[in-house]
Amino acid sequence: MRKQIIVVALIVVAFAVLLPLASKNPDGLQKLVADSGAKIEQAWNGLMSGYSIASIGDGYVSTFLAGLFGIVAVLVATFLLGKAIAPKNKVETSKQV
Amino acid sequence: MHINDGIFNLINPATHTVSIPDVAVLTLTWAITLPFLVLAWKKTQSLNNHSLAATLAISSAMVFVAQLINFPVAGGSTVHVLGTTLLTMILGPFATMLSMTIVLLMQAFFFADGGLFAFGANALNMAIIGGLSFFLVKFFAGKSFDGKRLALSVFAASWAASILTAFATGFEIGFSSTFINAGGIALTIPSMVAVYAMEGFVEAVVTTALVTPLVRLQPRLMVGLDMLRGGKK
Repeated sequence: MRKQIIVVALIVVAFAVLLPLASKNPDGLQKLVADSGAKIEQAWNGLMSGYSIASIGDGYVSTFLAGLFGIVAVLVATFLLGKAIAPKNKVETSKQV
Repeated sequence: MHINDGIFNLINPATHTVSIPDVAVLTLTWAITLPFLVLAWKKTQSLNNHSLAATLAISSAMVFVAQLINFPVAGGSTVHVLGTTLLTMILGPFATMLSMTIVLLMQAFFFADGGLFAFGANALNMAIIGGLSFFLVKFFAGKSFDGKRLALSVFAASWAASILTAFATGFEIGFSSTFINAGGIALTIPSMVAVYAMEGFVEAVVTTALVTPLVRLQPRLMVGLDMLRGGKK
């Protein structure tokens, strides 16, 4: 368990360090859409559209907190998936990482 | 790489009628994706004799973070790594499909990164094709699992997976109401492949740089590696 916590902490630290280096320009698909002149309207804009928290703005802290929320959400959802999919009547071990 | 819902429109915004090509692509991609996910669930359950929960959660979080870091490429656009071939080496192909599907679901639901209607397409392009990249590694590696051959196989498979994902995305959006009368697949496939061929090179370097030491230091972690070596069929 201790090892897993260290790895998760390293992931968060890597995110915090790499985030300022990330480009905010559109990705390949977004640019293709923009170049076509099409205006895209999403039916669902998410809770934190564009990986930022609206009340904080779209700076580093906002994106970091939104990303941190995403990390926790992915960790919880995939852990639960892993538990749900765990083979029944077989040896259970959590010493994978 | 994530297709947003506005690219595909159930109702064509120009004609205000049902957009048959959009509906067809969305339906087909869901129809291809869902059986793969059912298969992935069953295979993951039958192939693993221990819980993957911790490894699945941590490797999925790593890929989620990797996909948040966009870097610029030639032509003025940006890309992010996909991380799927890396996942296949750690989790195997089928758990990778499930892992990426969850990552995509979180991205679409919380951050509107990728559409909900287009979720089937995004899952097909990234989770399913990404998961199948395991078999590219297997194809390139043959029966040789020495370090150099494996590294080259992972490199080639990662690169190819990015290009195949871009090809599939370009093919699908080429039939959307956004692009069908604005160049169609003749525009979208080359555009996507050109950008993601560059991304694929970076993906291949990063994946190989991570897989190579993991194989040496933590082979016990690598369900995919075990499957490659014939430990699990």
